[in-house]
Amino acid sequence: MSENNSLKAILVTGRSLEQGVAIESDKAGDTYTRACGKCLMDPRDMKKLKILSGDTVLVKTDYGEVAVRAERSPDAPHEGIVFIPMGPWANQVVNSYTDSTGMPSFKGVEATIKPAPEESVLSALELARKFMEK
Amino acid sequence: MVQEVITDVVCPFCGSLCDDGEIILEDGKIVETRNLCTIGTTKFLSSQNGHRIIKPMIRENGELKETTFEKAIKKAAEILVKAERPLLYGWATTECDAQRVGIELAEEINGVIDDTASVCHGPSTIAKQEVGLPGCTLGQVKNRADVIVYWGSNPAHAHPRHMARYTTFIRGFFREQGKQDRTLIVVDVRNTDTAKLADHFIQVKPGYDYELFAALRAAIKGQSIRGEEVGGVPVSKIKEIAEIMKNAGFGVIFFGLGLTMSRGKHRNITNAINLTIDLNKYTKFVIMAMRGHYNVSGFGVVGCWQAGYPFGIDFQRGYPYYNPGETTSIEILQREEADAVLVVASDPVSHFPARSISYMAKLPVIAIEPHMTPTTEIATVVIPPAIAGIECEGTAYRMDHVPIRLRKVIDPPDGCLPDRQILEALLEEVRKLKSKS
Repeated sequence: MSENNSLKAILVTGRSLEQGVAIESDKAGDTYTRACGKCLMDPRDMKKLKILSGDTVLVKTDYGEVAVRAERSPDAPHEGIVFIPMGPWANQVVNSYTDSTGMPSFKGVEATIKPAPEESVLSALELARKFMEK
Repeated sequence: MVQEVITDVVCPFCGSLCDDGEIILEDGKIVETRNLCTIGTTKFLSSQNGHRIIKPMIRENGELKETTFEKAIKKAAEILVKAERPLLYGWATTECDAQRVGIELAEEINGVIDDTASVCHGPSTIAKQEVGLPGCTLGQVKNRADVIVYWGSNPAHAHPRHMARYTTFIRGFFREQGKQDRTLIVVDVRNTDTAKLADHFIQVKPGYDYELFAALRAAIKGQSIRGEEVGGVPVSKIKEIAEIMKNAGFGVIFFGLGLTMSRGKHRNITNAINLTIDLNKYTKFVIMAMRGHYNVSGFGVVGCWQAGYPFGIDFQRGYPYYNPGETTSIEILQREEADAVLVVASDPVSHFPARSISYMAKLPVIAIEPHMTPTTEIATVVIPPAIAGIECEGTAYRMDHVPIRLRKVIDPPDGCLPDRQILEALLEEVRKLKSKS
């Protein structure tokens, strides 16, 4: 389902080993951005968007947008599903509504992915500072 | 160079609470760990990596500036006493006595106290309150279980030693051959590293777990299932899995955030528990939540002792009141209700949706936190503590609700007190300010 070089997908967020190591080492450093400022994609979806691992993509949902690095998923095949490790990047775009349970929908959010070579991936602290500026 | 090995160290990272760690010290510094996973090792090593916040800080003209402990406590107490609807959030990565003082503080200031379960296994707790939960300890799983199901959970990444230590690969009293005596079933939307180890991997479509539980319950009862597939899983596979579950000697379902965070939320868990209850008509089956932070179970236990509720406890009325969806952090922030936030042992700015944080960033935030995080980046007051389980003792509850005593392996940086002592000082200052007004 790619249209004008964009892809409609279901966004899932969650833990990863790298994410666990990054949050226990230094959230202010690059390790955290490398571990969580990325979007794991099925290789077939990457082919549709004509992107390679390391390219920047813009992930957009009804709740926000965020620039992250695309990466070939080691857990494929999961065509139409993209995974962003839990953290400040994923949380720019997750569904904040809770259905009165206390729990936002961190998984199963409709998203549009498109290549964005002009965008840069912000660090966790830069994302936090953006909230202070608003 | 003096080398010392400290044995039987409990790892304060995930809900597996591994208690066989060994920490090697040289001249009082941690240089190596044994038996721990890569995340646990990182936690111990990073406690000394130079990124620590050592001094309390107060924000002045937009910049965090170092101050004394007394001044930071005074400023924090002023914020909390002035607030009409303070939110006290976090608590999952500290020990039970700090949580206990936190609840006392929440009562003193008529605040809302909520822990990270709210955005983790809160829906599991709601489901448990509706239908109960047939459970057991991890020791029973290790010694008895022959069918292990991980559903919406990827322990290879989130609980790295869970399978090796408690469930799948370890030899048990009645499972002498370890993995060869056990069948591993994994249900997930992706072929995760856990799924790659499974005897049966069921790839469910995102948001279709409830339907798949319902289909399994029907198959177990011998009822017909309409259609050829449910949630992307062929009916023949569902029937095969149902037979494996029914014929287990001792089965267990471990479920993760794949259920609590997806469409259906607590209803997914209710159906998972009902499946487990159904299976007990044929064999012994239990179910357990894969708790993330090492003492998130502990907050639920302490909350229930102290106030009668496990999370989202609101003291505004002068007595504890609990209603998830109303008294939980995400909604309190999104309704723009809170007017101050105390964060203890957590980083909500990293882990809450942007809409909640946009509002939180406008509020005075007090962070009791040892490292620079996105939360300290927006905080008004930052107080660095000693890290529980590394620099001070305490009690934590494993995911199966077995309490384990954390060990102290090194001294904290000068002036960094345990969370409990910081909170006691804050409570004392709050009481002093309240008595003056």
